[in-house]
Amino acid sequence: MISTLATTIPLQLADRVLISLTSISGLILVASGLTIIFGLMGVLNLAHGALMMVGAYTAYAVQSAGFSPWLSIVIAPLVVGLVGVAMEVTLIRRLYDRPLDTLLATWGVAIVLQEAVTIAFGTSQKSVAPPMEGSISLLGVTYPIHWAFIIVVAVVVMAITIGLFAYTDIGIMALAVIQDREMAAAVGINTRVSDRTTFAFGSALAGLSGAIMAPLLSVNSTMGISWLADSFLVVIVGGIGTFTGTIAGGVLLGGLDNLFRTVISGYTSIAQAAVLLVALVIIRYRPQGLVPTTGGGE
Amino acid sequence: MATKDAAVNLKTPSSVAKIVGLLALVALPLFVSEYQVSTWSTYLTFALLALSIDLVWGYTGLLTLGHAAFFGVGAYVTAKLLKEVPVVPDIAVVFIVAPVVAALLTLALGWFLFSADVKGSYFAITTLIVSIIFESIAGEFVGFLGGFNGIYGIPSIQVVGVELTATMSYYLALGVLVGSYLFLNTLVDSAFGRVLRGIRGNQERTEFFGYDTQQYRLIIFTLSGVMAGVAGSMYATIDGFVSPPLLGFVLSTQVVIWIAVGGRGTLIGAVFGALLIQYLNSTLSDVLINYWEMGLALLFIAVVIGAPRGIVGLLSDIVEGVQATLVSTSRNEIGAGGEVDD
Repeated sequence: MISTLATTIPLQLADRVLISLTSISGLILVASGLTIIFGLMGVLNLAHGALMMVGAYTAYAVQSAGFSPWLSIVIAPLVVGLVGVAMEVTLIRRLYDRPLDTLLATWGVAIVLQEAVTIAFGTSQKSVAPPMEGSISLLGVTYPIHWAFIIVVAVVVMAITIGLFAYTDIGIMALAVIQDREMAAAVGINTRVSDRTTFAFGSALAGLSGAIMAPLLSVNSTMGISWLADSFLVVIVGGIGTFTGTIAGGVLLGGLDNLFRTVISGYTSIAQAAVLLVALVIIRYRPQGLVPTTGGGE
Repeated sequence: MATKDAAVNLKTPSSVAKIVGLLALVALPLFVSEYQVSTWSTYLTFALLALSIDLVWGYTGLLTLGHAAFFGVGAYVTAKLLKEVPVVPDIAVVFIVAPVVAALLTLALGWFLFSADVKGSYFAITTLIVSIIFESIAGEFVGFLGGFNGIYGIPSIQVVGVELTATMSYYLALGVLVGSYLFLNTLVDSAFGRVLRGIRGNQERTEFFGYDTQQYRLIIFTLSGVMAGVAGSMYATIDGFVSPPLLGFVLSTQVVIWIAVGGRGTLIGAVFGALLIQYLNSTLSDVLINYWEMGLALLFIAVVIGAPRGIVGLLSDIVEGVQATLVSTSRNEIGAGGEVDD
C-alpha cells in the first residue's frame, strides 16, 4: 500500500505505530470517496483509482504553475469533482440499474483518464511537494509533518462526511434518494440533481485524497490501480455503506499490511498478497463486512 | 414466426463470413513473414483465452476479471517444465499438465466462491484480487520464477524429437482454437448450455426448476480454466518468454474489453474481438500511441452502454434488418394471405 512509508525509517515501535497510523489514514482517505459512490450509491466505480490519480496530477499542475501547495489541495477536489459530474451525466446516469455494465464502463473511463494524463504530462514520474515541510516530534520520534497532516485530514474528512450525511438536509435527501429513488421523487426531491451531487462529492474526495497523498507517492498515470483494489477491499471488508465500516476496514487492512511487512520483511509483494488473501477470505465468509449496515435500504 | 424465418435465413451469411474468416487464417502463413506468423500465433492463444472468459461471462453471466491468472499459471508451468524437466513430453505438458494445474486452481477457487454464492460484482472483484495475488507472487520469487524479469528462452514444442517450426506452431494453435470453438458451439447449444443461459438470466429461477446451479457454475468455471491453461501453455512455447503481467488483472480486463467489443455471449464475437483488436493494437499503437488506447476505451464504453452485443451483434442486426426488409417486400408481392400467416 504505502511502500515508501514502510521502508524509509528504522523499525522502532513508536515509529511503526505512527507509520501504521499514517498508512491507515491514507487508506481510509482514499477509500472515503468510494464509500459514498460504491458503498452508498451502489455504483461500481472502477475509475476511482484514476480519479485519485487525476487529483494527484492536478496538484502537480497547480504547483508547477507556481502556485502554493495549499492551493493545489483546494483545486484538486474541484477539478475531480467536475470530472465526476461529467461521468455521472454522460455514463453513470444511464447505468444505475446495470451494475456490471457500470463496472465495465467505468473501467473504460479509467483507461481514458490514464491515457489523457499520459498525453498531457508524459510518462515520467512527477513529484509533488507537501504543503508543510519539516518534521515534528511525536512520542519521541521525529516525524515528517505531512505524515501527521494526513492523519488529521483523514479524521476531519470522515467527521465532515459522517456529519453531512447524518445531519444536513442535503445529506439526508441524498440517502433518501439512494434508499428509494421513486419514493424520494414522490416527496419532491430532485433525484437527478441529488445523484449528481452525491457522485460529484465522492469524486471530489478521491481528488482530494490524490492531492494529499501525492507527496508520498510516485505520481504516474497508473498509480491509481493498486489504490483502486485497496479502496474496494476497504469498503467491502469494512461493510458496504457505512462510514464506520470504512474506518474498520482501513484499520484492519492497513494494520495487517504493516504487520505483514514487519513479519515478512524483504518480501513486500508477498505481504501485500497476504493482505489480499485475508480480504478474500473475509469477503467469502462475511460478505456483509465487519460493520454491516443497520438502516433500511439494501 | 418472422424471427424464426430470419434466424434460418441469417445462417447463410454468418456461416459464409465464418468460413471466409477461417480460410483467411489458414492462408495467412503464406503471405506474412515468419516473425508475423509467431505474432499471429500468440493472437490465437489470446483468442482461446477470450473464448474461455466468454464462456464464463458471456454465457453464464459471471464476470471474471482474473482469468489471466489461469492463463499465466499455464504459461509458467510450461516454462518451468520445458526448460528444466525435459523428461516429460512437451505435448503432455501443453495438453495435460498445464490444463490440469489450471483446472485444479479454478476448481478450488470456484468451489470457494460458489459455495458461498459469490456472484455479480463480488465475483468480479474477488477474481480480480486473485489475479493481483498471483502477479505479486510471481514477481517476488526471483530465484524460482524469475521475478519481474520473468523466464526467458522457453523452447518450442518438440514432437518425437522434432521441434515445431513457427508455421507448425501456428497451425497447432489454430487447430486448438477451431476445435475448442466447435466443441463449445455444441456445448452452448445443448441442454447444458441452456442451463448456463438460465443462470445468466435468473439464477434463482433456474434453481427453482431443480438445477444445481452451483455445480453447473463450477463445471463451466473449471472448463474455462482448462482452456485458459492450454492457451497460456501454448503462448509460452510460441513466445518463449513469460513474465508476471501474463497473470495480472490488466491482461484479464483487456481480454474482457476485446470480448465486449466483439460481442459477449457469442463465441464468434469473442474470437473476432480478440483477433481484431490485437491486430489493430499492433498496427495502430505505433502510429497513434496513447490515442489508440484512448479510442479503444471510448469504443468500449460506447459498446457497453449502447450495443451490449458488440460488433457481431450490430452486424447480425444489420443483416437481419436487410433480410426482414427483403422478406417483407417479397411477402407483400405474394399478397395479404402471407402476412396473416405471420
